[in-house]
This record gives sequence, C-alpha cells and structure tokens, in this order.
Amino acid sequence: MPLQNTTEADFEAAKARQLRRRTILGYGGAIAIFIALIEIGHASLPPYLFPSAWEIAVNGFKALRVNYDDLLITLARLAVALLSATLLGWFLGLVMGAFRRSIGLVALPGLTIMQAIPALSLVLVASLWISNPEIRVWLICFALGVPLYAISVYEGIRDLDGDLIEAVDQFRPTKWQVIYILLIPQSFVHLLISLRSVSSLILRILVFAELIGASTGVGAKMGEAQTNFDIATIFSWTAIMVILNFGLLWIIDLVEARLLSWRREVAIR
Amino acid sequence: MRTRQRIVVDVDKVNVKFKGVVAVENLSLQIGKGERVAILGRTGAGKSTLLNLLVGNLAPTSGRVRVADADPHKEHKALQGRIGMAFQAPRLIPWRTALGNVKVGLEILKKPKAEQEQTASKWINQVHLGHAAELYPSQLSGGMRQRVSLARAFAIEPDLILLDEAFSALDEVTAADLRAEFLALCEEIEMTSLIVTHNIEEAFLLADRVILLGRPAKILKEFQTDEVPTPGTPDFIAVRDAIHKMILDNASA
Repeated sequence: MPLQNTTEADFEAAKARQLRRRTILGYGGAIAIFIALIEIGHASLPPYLFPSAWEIAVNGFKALRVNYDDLLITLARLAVALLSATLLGWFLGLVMGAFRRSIGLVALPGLTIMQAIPALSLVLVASLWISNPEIRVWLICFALGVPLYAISVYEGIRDLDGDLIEAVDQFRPTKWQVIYILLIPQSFVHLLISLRSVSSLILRILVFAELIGASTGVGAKMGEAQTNFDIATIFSWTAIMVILNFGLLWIIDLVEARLLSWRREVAIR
Repeated sequence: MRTRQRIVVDVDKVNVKFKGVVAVENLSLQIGKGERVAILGRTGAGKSTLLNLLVGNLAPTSGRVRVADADPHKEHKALQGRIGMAFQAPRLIPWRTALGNVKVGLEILKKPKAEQEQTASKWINQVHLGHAAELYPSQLSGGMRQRVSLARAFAIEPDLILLDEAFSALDEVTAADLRAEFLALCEEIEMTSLIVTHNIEEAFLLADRVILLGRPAKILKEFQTDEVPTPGTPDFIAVRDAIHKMILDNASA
C-alpha cells in the first residue's frame, strides 16, 4: 500500500529517526574510543612521540589559523581532481556499458591494468616526469580515480535488469533513448555508491602526492612537520583530514538521499 | 463475434526450430481488429516463442508473421508504438514514479511534453491510481504495480496488446479486479489483444477466442468463448476437464 496512511508514514519516520540516532551514537562512540586510545598512547609514551588529545586539538586550531591557505589549496585540488575523475570515469563507464561488445571489451583490460598500478609508482613517476606541481598532483589523483569510477559504472550497467530492457524495448527505442532512459540513471546509482569510497581514497592519495610532489597543501605541511619531528602537527593535520573526509561523506550522503530517494532500504532483522 | 474490419495479427504456416528442436510447428493464426484471443498451453508449449515472433525478437524458420501489416522482425521501426506489452512481473523502472513509468512509451514515441503528461495522467486515472501517480514502484503494492504496467502498455494506444501471464503472479482477488479493468479498457477502445496464460478460467473470461496449444506449438483446439459456458459456473467444469485431458493426451503423445 502507498505511504498515504498516516500511521505507516509515522512508523517510517520513527524508524528513520531511530536510525539517525544510532548513526550519531556510533560516530560518537568511535570518536570517544579514538580519544581514549590517544590518551593511553600519550600516557604510555614520551610526549614528543605521542601528544595528548588536547595538544592535538590546540595544535590543529593553530595550524588552521596560520596555514589555512594550505588547507584551501588541498580542498581546491581535491575538488578539481574529484570532479574531473568523476566526470571522465562516469562518461567512460557509460560508453563502455552502452557499447559493451566493442568499446567495453577494449577499454576494460586497460583500465584493469591502470587499477593495478601501485599509487606510489604513480606518485614517483609523476614527480619525475612532470615539473608543474599542480598538474602532477592532479594527474596522480585523476589517474587513480578514473579507472575506479569507470569500472564501477560499467559493472553497474552490466548489472541492469534484462527484464527492464525488454519492458522498454516493447516501444522500440533508439540506442540513445535506451541510454537516456535506462543506462544513465542506472549509472548514477553506481557512480554515487563508488563516490563514497573513491573520494576518500583520492583525499588520502592527494595528501600523499602533496607530500612528495608539492610545496603547498596539507601534505606538504605534514612533510615539513615530519622534518621538524613535530608529531603534534602531524596528528593535528591528520585529525583535520579525517574531519574533512567526514564532511565530504556527509555531502555525498545528502546527494544520495536526494537522488536515490526511490530506493527501498532493506534491513535484515 | 465482432465484425472484423481488418487483420491485425497474421501468422501463416509458421515453423520455428532451435538447433533442430521444433518449437513451433505449422502454426497459423489470425486476429482481427478489436478481437481478444487467449493462448492456453503448458510450460514449453511455445507460448513465449509465439510472443517473441510477434514482437520481432525472433524470425520464423519458415512461414510468415505480420503484425499491423508489417513484418515485426524485418520492419522493426515500422511497428514503433503499435505493440504494447504487459508481463508477468510489472517490470517498472524503479527510479521513475508511477506516472513517469506510464510516460516511458510516449517519450520514446517523441510525443510533445504536454501530450505525454495529459495521456499518462489519463491512463493512470483509468487504472484508478491517480492518488499514487507520484509514488515510486517500491512504494506500491504488487497489484498497483501491475496496474501501472497495464497503463504503460495502453498509454501508447497500440494496435495490439500482448499480455504475457500478466495476472498470474497476483492473488486471486487482485487478479480478478485487474482482469475486469483490463476487459473494460479493451471494450472501451476496441483494443486487439493476445493473452498468454496458464489459467483456463482466465483465458475464457478475457478472450473472444481461446486457442489451446500443444507441444511443440501447434493448435490443438480452438474455442469461441460465447459457445462455452461462463467460467465459474458448474457447466464450465466439464470444459475445463476436457481441456486438461487434451493437454495431458498431447503431452503423453
């Protein structure tokens, strides 16, 4: 029955509220455990090796105040890398899925090989080959993200229910109409699902790429802190990056909730 | 029987073989405009093969298939918007609302936006789902989904509607309800339809003519439903038993 019945709608809303409460509790619990572990580490090791949670927080605010431009640079790099990798990866996956027996068959092995290349190799080769640090950092993130998105979207399209294609085929659509009506929406589902994992990965690789191949950005600042044996700053930037990742995932969650509201969430009892 | 203005489906001495196995044997069948024909038969009797021939997914090994004066296999585009189909499962697009699903065929036929909206709304109301037009398939019950599927097939106002066991996955009350709605819609616009089913009562309830298929697909017997007792009455039981026997005899032969 449709959710026009108030009682049923209320029940669904109560379930959603309960889920939100549990999620917040889960995150709160995880953060508390991390703080406790940091305090245990701080109590067991010398302070220059393991700062306290308070020191990390104070250092973090200081780092943000003094080096906020480095954070902004990292954010800008992340936005450009994520956007370009998402767009090209999605487009490539879509074309591969739509022309599975030609472009799909040719492109998949290439992307699989790209996916197997260690991130470190990409970082080192890009650092040696490319002099412009911006292009270098972007290329590393882009080369890592594109195959992940493309393969995810391609697999998603392969997963499209044949019954749906048959149902639409009764109207004798053109290839473009099938792409527009079925393949593009189906690819969005898988793009959004992969966005969550790939964006976190790109963020981590970005910091790594900045450490090796750039003189600005959070990664470069962490490199400086390492040279100065400043563990507190390293921990602070790490915490900032974790918060940034949380923020990114929250935005993805909002987009997902908006675009995939038609999906029915199934919970196992 | 109605007065036939023209032939919509013309299957003439069709044979279909898959790797030497005969699936359809010398099958001939004509359906006139506005006529409703039911195909009855056991699993593997070639009912789906017949549907595939009619929609053009399959070419006959020999013989001729015409739908609305076109060869469905060779003249694929000529039949655009002229065949509507409802399946056993509703097969709705999950990210489209009920109304959006009904619009699919109209979009493919490139009808103007206003006409798409108007026609889809008309058909969603015809199947009594006006209140659920903006709900997604996951928010609809099985019967409501199947109604949307029927509305989607009817919305393009095709020359021929094919039902592939469209009511078999529903509970009896919902199925009876939908059968009545289907009949009313067909009567209203004089729709030609071919109904494939396992259900003997359903075949006689919905069709003007019932064709019993043997294995491989060949006509065992043809019934005019107005010459047979009404389904559900005690007299119909004898007809049903006779059909059962014919099917069993054919299987053992």
